[in-house]
Amino acid sequence: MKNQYTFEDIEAYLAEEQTEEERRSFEADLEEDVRLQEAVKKHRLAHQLTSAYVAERTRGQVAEVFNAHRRQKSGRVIPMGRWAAAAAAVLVLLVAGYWMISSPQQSAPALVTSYFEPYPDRVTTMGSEADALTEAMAAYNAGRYEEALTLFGALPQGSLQMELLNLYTGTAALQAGQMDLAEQALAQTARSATAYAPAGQWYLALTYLQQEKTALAKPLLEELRQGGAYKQKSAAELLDQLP
Amino acid sequence: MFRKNIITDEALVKSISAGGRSEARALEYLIDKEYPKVLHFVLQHGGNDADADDVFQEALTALVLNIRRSQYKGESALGTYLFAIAKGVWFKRIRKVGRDRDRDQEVGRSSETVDLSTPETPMIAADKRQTLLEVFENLGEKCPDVLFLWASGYNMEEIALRAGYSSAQAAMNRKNKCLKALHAQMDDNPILVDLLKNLR
Repeated sequence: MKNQYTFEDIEAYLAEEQTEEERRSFEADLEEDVRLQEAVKKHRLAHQLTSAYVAERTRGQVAEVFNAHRRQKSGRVIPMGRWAAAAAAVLVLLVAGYWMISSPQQSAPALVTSYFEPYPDRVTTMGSEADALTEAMAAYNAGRYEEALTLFGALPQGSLQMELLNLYTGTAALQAGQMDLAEQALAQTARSATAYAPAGQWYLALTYLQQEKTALAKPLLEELRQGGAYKQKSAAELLDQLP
Repeated sequence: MFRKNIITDEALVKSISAGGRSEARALEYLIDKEYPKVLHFVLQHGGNDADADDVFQEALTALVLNIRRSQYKGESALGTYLFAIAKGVWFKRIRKVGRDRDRDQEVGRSSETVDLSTPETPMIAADKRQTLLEVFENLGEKCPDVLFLWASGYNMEEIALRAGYSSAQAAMNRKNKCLKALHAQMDDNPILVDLLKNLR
């Protein structure tokens, strides 16, 4: 390579911010230098990925406006006379004012506290033998989440279906404040092709909200709301309350 | 507040470019005004209400992206432009499932040339979408917003203003730092590399 190019140089080339002379020199090097070609290719891929992110984020924003607007429309009443409409508007303002004063908007973590319920024990039954799994679930059921995490981690392989184990591990980690572990475990269940996937999505959304990563939580909640089964109502309520 | 009968295309474009609540109100206006036409069209062409919802949202997304990237030049009315995109989305969809009756005839009648060729426009599968969002959300402080604004076509002065940087240079430095973090993710994260393969 005739010249050593920095990250910023390559960005300037792709943004067409170089002088004519710089561009000519850069392109001459580009033609001959395989490593520079690779570097430029990687920059282009990163741009492509960023464009995909913009498209997906925009798609989410549009869906949010569309669904909220349609819900609002479908709840709208038959047109009234002008005075009746004015009276109704005043009433709405009074109620909204009272609501705003009496119930300030909750933060995302506060909403998690309101909506969190541990995923129910689908493993142990009355009279289960006192094995490692039963012990782990007993800690989980008693809300001793840090202990449960240790015990889940020590379970022999095959004790429990992996997606279910990840679900319990993630839920316990969320409550124990171990967010990285919660995200990792719940994401695996959420992406699985099992019946536990919606539960994984729900608890993963709560994990994101706990960390105020609202933009990540919303698509998961939207999917649950549209899914029409697991936690549909709670997901819809949460979406309405999120900023 | 918008008065629905007098709002101009120029005002709508400005509102969409501005983002935030102003953008949301412009989109609501377009939903009220243009969705019924798209619904009618989709129903006339063998689709149902759910298809119309999907098609309209996809078209509105493409419209917003095109406005932000200054690809909408105002050569046709915004509603006409949106409807042309929606028709394109619908025909693409029926072509995909092999129901392409009337397509050539209808496309031949359309006077609009709509750019839907951006590689990222096709929907990404839900799990990959989540991965993509997660990667960007975790790149570092303000990176999601800075990269979002940059790739949406805003210049560095606008990005500095919107993201709270003291100068265009500071915004540019942040953008490059965020892109470096993305490059590191591309090296470390095989899922991301797979996602890139699917995008190409």
